[in-house]
Amino acid sequence: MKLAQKERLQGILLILPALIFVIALIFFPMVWAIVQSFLKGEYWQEQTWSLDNYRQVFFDSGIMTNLVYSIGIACLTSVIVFVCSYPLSIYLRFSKDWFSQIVARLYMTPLFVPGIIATYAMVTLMADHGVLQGVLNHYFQIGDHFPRMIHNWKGVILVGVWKNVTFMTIILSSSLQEIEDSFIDSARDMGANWWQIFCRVIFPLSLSGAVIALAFIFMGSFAQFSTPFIIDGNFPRMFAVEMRYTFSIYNETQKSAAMAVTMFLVSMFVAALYIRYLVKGRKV
Amino acid sequence: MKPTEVEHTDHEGRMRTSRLSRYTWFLSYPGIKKAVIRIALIALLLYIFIPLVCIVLWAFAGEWYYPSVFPQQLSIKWWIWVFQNTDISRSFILSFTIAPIVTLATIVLCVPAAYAFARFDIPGKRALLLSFLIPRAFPAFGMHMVLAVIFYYLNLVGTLLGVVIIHLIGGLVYMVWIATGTFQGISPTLEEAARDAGANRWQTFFRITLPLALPGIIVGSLFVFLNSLDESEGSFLVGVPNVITLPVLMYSLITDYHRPVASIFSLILLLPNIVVLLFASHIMRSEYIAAGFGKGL
Repeated sequence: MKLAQKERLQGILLILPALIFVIALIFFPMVWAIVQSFLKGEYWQEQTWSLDNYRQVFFDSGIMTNLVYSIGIACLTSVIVFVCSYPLSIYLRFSKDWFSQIVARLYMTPLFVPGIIATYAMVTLMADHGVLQGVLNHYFQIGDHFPRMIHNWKGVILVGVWKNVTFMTIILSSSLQEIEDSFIDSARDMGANWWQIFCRVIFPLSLSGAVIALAFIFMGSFAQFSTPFIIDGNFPRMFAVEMRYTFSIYNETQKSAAMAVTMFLVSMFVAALYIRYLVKGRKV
Repeated sequence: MKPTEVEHTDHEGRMRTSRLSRYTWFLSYPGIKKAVIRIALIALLLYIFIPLVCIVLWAFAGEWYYPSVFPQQLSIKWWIWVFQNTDISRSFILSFTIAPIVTLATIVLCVPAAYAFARFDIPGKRALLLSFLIPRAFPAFGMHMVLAVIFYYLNLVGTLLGVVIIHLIGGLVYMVWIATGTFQGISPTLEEAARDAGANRWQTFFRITLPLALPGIIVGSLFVFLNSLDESEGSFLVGVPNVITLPVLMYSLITDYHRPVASIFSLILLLPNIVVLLFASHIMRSEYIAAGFGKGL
């Protein structure tokens, strides 16, 4: 009994430094920001409780347009990424020829490319008078009809999909790897066809990975900053860009705290889903 | 078993896919199906690699005006310009100071905690472990903004410490989970055997457990190191105007300079990642990457 208590104490002591860091630099700032968002007046003045910061956020038609725009971009990115990644991960799981081996190595590349470089690379390719327009103009004489791809939402989507397909495929692949070949073989032995195996075996078993990845991509796209900062137009703009202007240019700290809380509120539902599936998927 | 070998010949299968198969009948020929799949995959790979090829071309372009498909003139004059620029060398030193500090601090904080999570009986373990995922469950930029607001009052905006803390948060979450998963993956029977042979808890840890866990910890550290080198958003918010790391400098290079400058800079920034990709890809198994997001452990 005493030995068990001693072991407990040792365990807690080992965790303590990391735990203190998380509490001091994540939980405390979050609570503090929530408090700040309900305050009016700087700290050297007299501060009063007020909903003024939120009024400035929710009754500003510009900010609201940006919020809706950001949610739209996040949904569209998540859907496109899912549509690309799901077949890819299934292909990589079940195909073992030389071609799939090459694809399995190469598709990892975007994971090692910082978002800001990916964005810039896409700008050089897709810009007006960029590389793609040059190629289309030279070989197909259709350069004049080249659509405007950057400095609007299309650029944000292009980069968002580029960055996230790898991530989603990795998460889905790790789920699919847990499905054993014998599982599928026995389903086939009992007369199931490919479609039935997919619906009854593969899809249910890959669901938790898919939900986790989708939640993560939704949040990442909704709150992305550097990509739209470089590639998006001026209006509507992503919520994170708007927030950065509020903080760094206008120095309205309490309003930016209110915007951060708004960002958390929007992600709350998705975050709950993410945590729920994580807890469900764990065997410990 | 390959999907290419499976055809919709089953009776019930044909019933289920009949509407779809009106448009996809040609896929039932294995050769055509294989070709369609490969074309789609090649398109995906082109989508991934062509933008990267563009920056390589731009990095060596002396002159490249619109109608031309390739640069009219290749040159390395901008490379010389970049290497002589003091802003860039200052950021270089700064980034390569911050990244090792962050990596070391992450290891010191996380490896003991992860070992405790994997082996010790701690009350409320599950909730504690999940609490390390909270920063992942909310948008990173929101977290950074919250910290930026608090740093603003603590006068930590524009300081090295502020940027290190921002980088630590991302690293911490990743490392706790990946190291916990690695320790959990090591069979306790090995440790029990060592302890039966007379080793105490610390000897067992350093002689048996740690060497076995090393691959996972190295992968985690590499990711933390690269994340710190590549982190741009939080550093931009908290570091400006004094602490300009390499990716933060990229923002101004894109808007203020010629295209070759930002392209060369991108390649330099990519170099550590390429090194890791080439020399460490055999230990970068996808389970580790997935584990960083709390998945699959």
